[in-house]
Amino acid sequence: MKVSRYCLTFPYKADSDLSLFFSSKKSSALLVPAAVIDDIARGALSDEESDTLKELGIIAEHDEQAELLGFIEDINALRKRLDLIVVMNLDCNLACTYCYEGTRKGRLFLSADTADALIAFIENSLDGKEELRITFYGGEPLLSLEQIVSIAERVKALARARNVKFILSLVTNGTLLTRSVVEKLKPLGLNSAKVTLDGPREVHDAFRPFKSGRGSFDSIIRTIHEICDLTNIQIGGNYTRDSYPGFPRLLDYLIEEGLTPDKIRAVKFDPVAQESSEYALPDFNDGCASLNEPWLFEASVFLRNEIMKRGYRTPRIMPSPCMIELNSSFVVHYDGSLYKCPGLIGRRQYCVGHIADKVEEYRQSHHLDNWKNEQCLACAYLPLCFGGCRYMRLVREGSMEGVECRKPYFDAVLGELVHQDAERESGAGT
Amino acid sequence: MKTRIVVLNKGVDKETVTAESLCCVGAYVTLLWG
Repeated sequence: MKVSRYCLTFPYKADSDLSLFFSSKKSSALLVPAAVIDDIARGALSDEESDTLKELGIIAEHDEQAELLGFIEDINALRKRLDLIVVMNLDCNLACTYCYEGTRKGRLFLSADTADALIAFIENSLDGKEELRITFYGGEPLLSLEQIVSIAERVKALARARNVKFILSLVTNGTLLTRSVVEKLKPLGLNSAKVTLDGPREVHDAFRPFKSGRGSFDSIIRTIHEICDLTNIQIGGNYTRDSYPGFPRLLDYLIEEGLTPDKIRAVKFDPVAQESSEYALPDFNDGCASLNEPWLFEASVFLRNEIMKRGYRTPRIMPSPCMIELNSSFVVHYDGSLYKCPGLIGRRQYCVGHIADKVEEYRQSHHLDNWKNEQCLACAYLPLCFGGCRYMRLVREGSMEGVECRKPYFDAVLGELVHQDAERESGAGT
Repeated sequence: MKTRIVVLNKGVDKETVTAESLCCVGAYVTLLWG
């Protein structure tokens, strides 16, 4: 009886008689007493225990390397959803200091002709699909509200005719997300909106002012109040090494304002990445180049703990391929060109086609399967990583060739993150 | 024999795996999650 290579074990902090088992390929978690560990080694488990461990991916039943080699192909074969991120424009009413779109921004809008081509592209891409999700993106997508409504109306009709479930999502700075906007979009399929708060007011306003220079924090809080009963709100926050310690004050403020966990779908904080000099805003140099920067080990664990201990939902640690490897995920740029990741928009060498034409082969240009090497295949973190973030590697190294190894990061933090999930799932507080 | 194992989470099937759990950890190119 062989324990899976992708089973990670940690001493369970809440009870020294137990070990916390986590399967990186299943995201399953269980508490296992020492005696069971001995019995696994001796092949002396009960049938029930043996079946449980097999079902949860703890015991390997077959060639795991072969299983992981085919993991993403299996996911692609099973996925019945078409995911499109549609860049409605590259304009914005804010002047965020670290905007990764940087010098790519401008008064560039998706045209009516491109919208027509988008509808045709969607129509041609729905074969075999049961679900279509469009995430309207930007710039600031709500500067193109009329266009969003028009596209959504047409897509909704198309999806209904094809018996496909349609979900509409927004990634928006939140300043224009009024109740009337949500009321307009909800009948068209609006399911959720992600807004950004970069810490407590004074920190957020320094990073994310309106173009006028005025802070945007209060405006966003106001809109969250207006709409939290109407749609799912996800709050994201982007932090730097200097700013992250202040984020708990944001969470406390949300609670004081009555924007308690029952009113917010999820909260997640992420480090600002440093975009390359070609696109980065000239005055911002505080982004991270890699997840393996040691300050991030503490920051990511600390912030996730602060989110969870206040009762807010945050995503579980789960298998996570790069979206570039998912066949039915695309970014539609404002001009109709297709990309495989929002970080790649405007980088013409990574354009994979056009909605009015076809999707071109991108396996080599985007280094798919880069993780199919001896080192990655032997790594217990492979399902959580699959070669890391190609965009980060590109920005740091100038090329997507090779993997963005996250082993130092996972070595440092995974035990803590899995414990955070375990405490939530066991009902134990921090 | 009664099981001695406590299952905290059964985990996910491949149908539910998305790109959104950790893909944005290293870059704030964030997407909607979950």
